[in-house]
Amino acid sequence: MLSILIPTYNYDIRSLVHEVHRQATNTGIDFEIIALDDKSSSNIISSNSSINNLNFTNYELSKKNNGIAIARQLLVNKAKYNWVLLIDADMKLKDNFYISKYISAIKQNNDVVFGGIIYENKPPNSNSILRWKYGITYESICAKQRNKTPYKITSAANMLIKKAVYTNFNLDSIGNSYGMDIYFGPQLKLNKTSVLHIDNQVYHLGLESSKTYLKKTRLAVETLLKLKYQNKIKLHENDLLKTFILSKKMKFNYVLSSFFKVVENIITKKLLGKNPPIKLLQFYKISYMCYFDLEKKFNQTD
Amino acid sequence: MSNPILQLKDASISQGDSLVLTNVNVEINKGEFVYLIGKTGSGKSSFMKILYGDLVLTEGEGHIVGFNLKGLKDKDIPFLRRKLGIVFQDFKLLSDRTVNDNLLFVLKATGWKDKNEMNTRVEEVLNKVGMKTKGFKYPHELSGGEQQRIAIARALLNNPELILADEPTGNLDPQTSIEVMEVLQEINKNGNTILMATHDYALLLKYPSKTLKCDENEVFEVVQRKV
Repeated sequence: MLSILIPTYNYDIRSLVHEVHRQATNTGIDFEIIALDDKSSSNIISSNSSINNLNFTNYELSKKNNGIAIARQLLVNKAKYNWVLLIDADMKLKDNFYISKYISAIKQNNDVVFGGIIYENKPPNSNSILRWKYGITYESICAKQRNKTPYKITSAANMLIKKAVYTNFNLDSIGNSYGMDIYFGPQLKLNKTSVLHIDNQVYHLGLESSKTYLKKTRLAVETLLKLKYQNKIKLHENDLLKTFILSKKMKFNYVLSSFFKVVENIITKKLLGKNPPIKLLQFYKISYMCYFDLEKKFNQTD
Repeated sequence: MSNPILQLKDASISQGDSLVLTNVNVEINKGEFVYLIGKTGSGKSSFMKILYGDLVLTEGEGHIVGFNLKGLKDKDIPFLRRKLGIVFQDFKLLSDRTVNDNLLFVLKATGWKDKNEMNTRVEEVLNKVGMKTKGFKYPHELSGGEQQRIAIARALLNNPELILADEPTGNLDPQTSIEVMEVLQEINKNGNTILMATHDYALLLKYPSKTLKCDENEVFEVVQRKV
């Protein structure tokens, strides 16, 4: 019936696994839980290993650190059932009906079901405030809204998908997790995959520091450009890419790029501060995209 | 003539790198009620895990409900599990729906389509556990023993060839444990084969039956003396 797959790296997954296990047991369906450890430190491995005592639950260890995209693919390959539920290690279930809602969604005959991500109302410490603000503004979206543009918010951090459909996309060919999420939506759209969004959100707890998040944001922008020029994103609902294409068309990309060079340090300082304006992050992304595109001479064909 | 539903011959079972059970020779025939006892850490859980394909048979031979455990492929495991009915200690039901809807939830998830057939099956299994009149109750309206009976009914839905009950009375008081045992005994009398892991030696005395014991990395049959 259902393989529940948890990629994990240096995170204590015991409470998540116990809760998922409890809920899956309560439904009475056939299930398995596989957690794949992406080469965590030995003390984390030692404490997480206790989940092996649960029925239908296995904690497996990677020999090297592969990154989340490959870890997810390895997990899907190991799955025994036709439906796989991917959930990231740093998530917390919101209610008692997480598994049963997904089981009910299976019956609606879609290929992929996204439950959505939410963030706790209480802000984290100021060190992680940028990730939290971004999440709460752009990721905590109800299913009704997400279903209007079904290929726009497609986070694999909380997703039910047919094993065969996932395997088809070769998502592990994209290096980092941010890149994977960027690539995934357009792939689903291109293949006319039937997608359903439901309100089955999980709390995202493992918030990176603002500095790390900004670095990952830059990587994501670079990945997005790379995918565009590799012609891997043909159909999409990505606002950043739309704005970028429009800027280039209007030749406004030169202005944005020059502006980025001048104000990068000031914006970065503001974004890493205690109260980062989230619109500024969006401006940072588009101006960095134009800058990177021109400076790195990425585009030769567009 | 014996009709084995489970057969392990000179079998060894490992978890990770450590050998948990060795030289296991066990046979369970259709219609039997068999206890599995042993201290915590004696390999009881590993024994159960191998039966539903969570652990691999490293040596020897093993057959269960028509599946060869040696070299069992991952893709076969869902089909194996469909032939097993599993009852756990942590038996709770979905609290947001009635007993009937809990059972219908499993039937729908396992591919049943016809509403009349589903309703008939729900009625049949509730009848088997003496809970025919409780279908419209919510789990919170039932006692612990009644909830466990429903969990047993749920395990019976798809006509399993073997019921694996892993400490099914582990969370229950003595009187409720007896109530649940009566249900399991009744189901067994009606032809279902049951393997029950338990710590509760009082139940073994009250309902004597074939007993397997895990001890010092081995599984052997123990003979119960009548008191």
